[in-house]
Amino acid sequence: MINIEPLKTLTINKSNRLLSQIKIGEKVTIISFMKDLETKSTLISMGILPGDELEVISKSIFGSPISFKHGQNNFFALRSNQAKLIEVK
Amino acid sequence: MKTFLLIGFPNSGKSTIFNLLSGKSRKVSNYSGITVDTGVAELKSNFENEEKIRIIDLPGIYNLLPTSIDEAITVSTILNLNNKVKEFNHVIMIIDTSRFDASLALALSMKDVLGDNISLLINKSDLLYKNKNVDVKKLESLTGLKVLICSAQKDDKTTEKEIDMFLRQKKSDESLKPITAIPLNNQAISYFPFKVSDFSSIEIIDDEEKILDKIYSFQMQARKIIQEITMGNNLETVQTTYRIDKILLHPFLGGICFFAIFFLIFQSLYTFSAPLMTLIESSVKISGDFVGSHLPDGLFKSLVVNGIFAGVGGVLVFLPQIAILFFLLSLMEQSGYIARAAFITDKIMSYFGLNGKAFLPFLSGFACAVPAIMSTRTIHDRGERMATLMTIPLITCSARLPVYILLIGTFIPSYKILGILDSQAMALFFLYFLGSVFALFMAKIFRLSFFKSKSKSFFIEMPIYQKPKLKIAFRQMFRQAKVFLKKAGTTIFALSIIIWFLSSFPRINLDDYKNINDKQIASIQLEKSVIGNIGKFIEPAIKPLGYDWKLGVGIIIAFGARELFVSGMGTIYALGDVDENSKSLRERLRLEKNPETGLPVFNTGVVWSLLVFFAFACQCISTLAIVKKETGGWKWPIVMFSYMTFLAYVGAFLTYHLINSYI
Repeated sequence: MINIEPLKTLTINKSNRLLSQIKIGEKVTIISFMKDLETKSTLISMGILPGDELEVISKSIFGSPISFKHGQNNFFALRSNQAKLIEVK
Repeated sequence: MKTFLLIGFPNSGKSTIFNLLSGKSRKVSNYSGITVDTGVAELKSNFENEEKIRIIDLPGIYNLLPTSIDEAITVSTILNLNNKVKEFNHVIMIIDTSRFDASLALALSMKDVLGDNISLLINKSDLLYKNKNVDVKKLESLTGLKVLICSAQKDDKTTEKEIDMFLRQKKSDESLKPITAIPLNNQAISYFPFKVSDFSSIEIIDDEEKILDKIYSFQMQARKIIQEITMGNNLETVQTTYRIDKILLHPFLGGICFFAIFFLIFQSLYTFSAPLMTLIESSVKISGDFVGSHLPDGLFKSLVVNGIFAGVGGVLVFLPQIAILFFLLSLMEQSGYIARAAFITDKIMSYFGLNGKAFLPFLSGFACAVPAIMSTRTIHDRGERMATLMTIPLITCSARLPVYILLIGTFIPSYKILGILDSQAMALFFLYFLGSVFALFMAKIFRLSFFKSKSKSFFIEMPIYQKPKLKIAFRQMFRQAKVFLKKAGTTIFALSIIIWFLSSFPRINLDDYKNINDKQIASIQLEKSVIGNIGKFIEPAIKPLGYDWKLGVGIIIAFGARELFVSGMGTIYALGDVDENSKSLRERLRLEKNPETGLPVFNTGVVWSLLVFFAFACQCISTLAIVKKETGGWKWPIVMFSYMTFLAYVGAFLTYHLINSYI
């Protein structure tokens, strides 16, 4: 079963963060997608799954969108309002 | 005849394979969402084989749950709902090695729906996994499907033969139908372009998570398989992409590179084409003089020299620009930069209620609005799609280019700004910029009025950079040059003759005009012709924009096609000119004087007023036709035509009066 959580504030587990808070160059692991994430069916179909590693390559000068490297060889970008619906650590 | 579907991820190379096997030239590039409709063609090898096979190129999908119209075309084809492809016998799944496990997962879910009548074609083997790094035999035994590994982009006879043979191994004769129902939600069904009459192969599930769980389980299966069949990969291309993106997507440098790249395109559009233009211009002149000198004086000579040579020849001059524009766009598209440009522009687009995905339709709009409007099918949200579609015609398309170049090249003095920038190239860049800014501005108005919606999402894949192939760029260039020449040889040729007739008849009675010279007779003849009468009739309406009746006629005929402005002006000014030495249209425009004041007709105010009019006016019947087709009625084409004509008139009016009061 895939990890899809209802929208929640991150009080349960303090060590987890939101993907939108990650700085350029940092590597993190996906924990879960939140229910309100609009693009989750495409993300999952692209093989971007909980447990996978993401590296933030760059952010636009306006802070959004954010571009990522996924796993060994994939690159994609998301808006920050969507990235904040992805829980990482 | 047997029908094979090509199905796979966006940008996995379906159209490249389709072109290779069929000899067609569907558009290809390194970006997702280029193919948005159904392509049907027979295999080239059908000539030498008894068994006839046709292949179907479809838009790319990530899964069987469509989130846009183009994806829904593919899913509905699998469900036997596509009008163009009623049935099919086999499916070739294109697996892209740069997204190996995820695209294999799609193949597994297809196998779940259609059974074993599927083969796997592993493409882009030059990118990450060389042939020797993939255990094809093991993949065949693990999936139970036939597998071939290739790199279709190589585009050689061996690859073509290999894939062709692979397709011909298939023996299935019956047409395929889903054996298990495809789970869809109502949102997905709303994107279907064809009427869903048969629900037997669809299972409607409202709980999206159930569908996602299914996709997830295929992903896990695919990962397991990939681990077993691959050994060692080549991450060099990935490293290069990573390094380039650190610069091209950099918060500051990224934007600077973006502007530099586009400015370079316009600068080269101008610099490289100038000598070629002069060459064509003088060839047209020499051949026109040659033909003219062998014809007896009279109406027929006038038809050939003033109607055909001055009309069609005037348009032909712009062939180099068209060719260079398409060549450069193809190089950029093939490299993979478009997805990065979408990234750079997304935030700005979001202020106007659009998203980065609208960048590609807008960019294709620089070539032609018709395919650009079709490419909006990839935009998920209806409001965003409609706002993009309605504003694309404001983007400077290649048909405007001849008009711009003619006016800028003739009337804007050429000098260097800051030592490097050419003033004429800057003027051209400004017009492109003007069109784009107003497209965004109008999109915002549409998003606030007709097309409200709350979409906030933007997701885009960044393909691995690839070295652009000159062969593909040249092919694209020749194809577009052919389209342009065909238009010049048919539509513009025919209309030039009609315009000549309308500007030469009815003939005046020469006895009524004695004691005046030939030049005055020519100009009176023109004024008394049908075109002259029409021009005089509309003159009051266009006078506020700074135009005389001849320019008014030019604008009216340009509503048929923009290039007709150039050919029409060519004919009309040639008829008014009785000089023995034929001149180029540019020379004639410069010499044109207002008969009342004796001042040149084209002053700075008139030139810019014309440029602004052409930037905004919807002078393209094909655009209105495709809008009707995509929106299913006359309402939106009418709205489009009205708002653009309004912008053009008001814009030209303000430009003319502002410039004339300050200069």
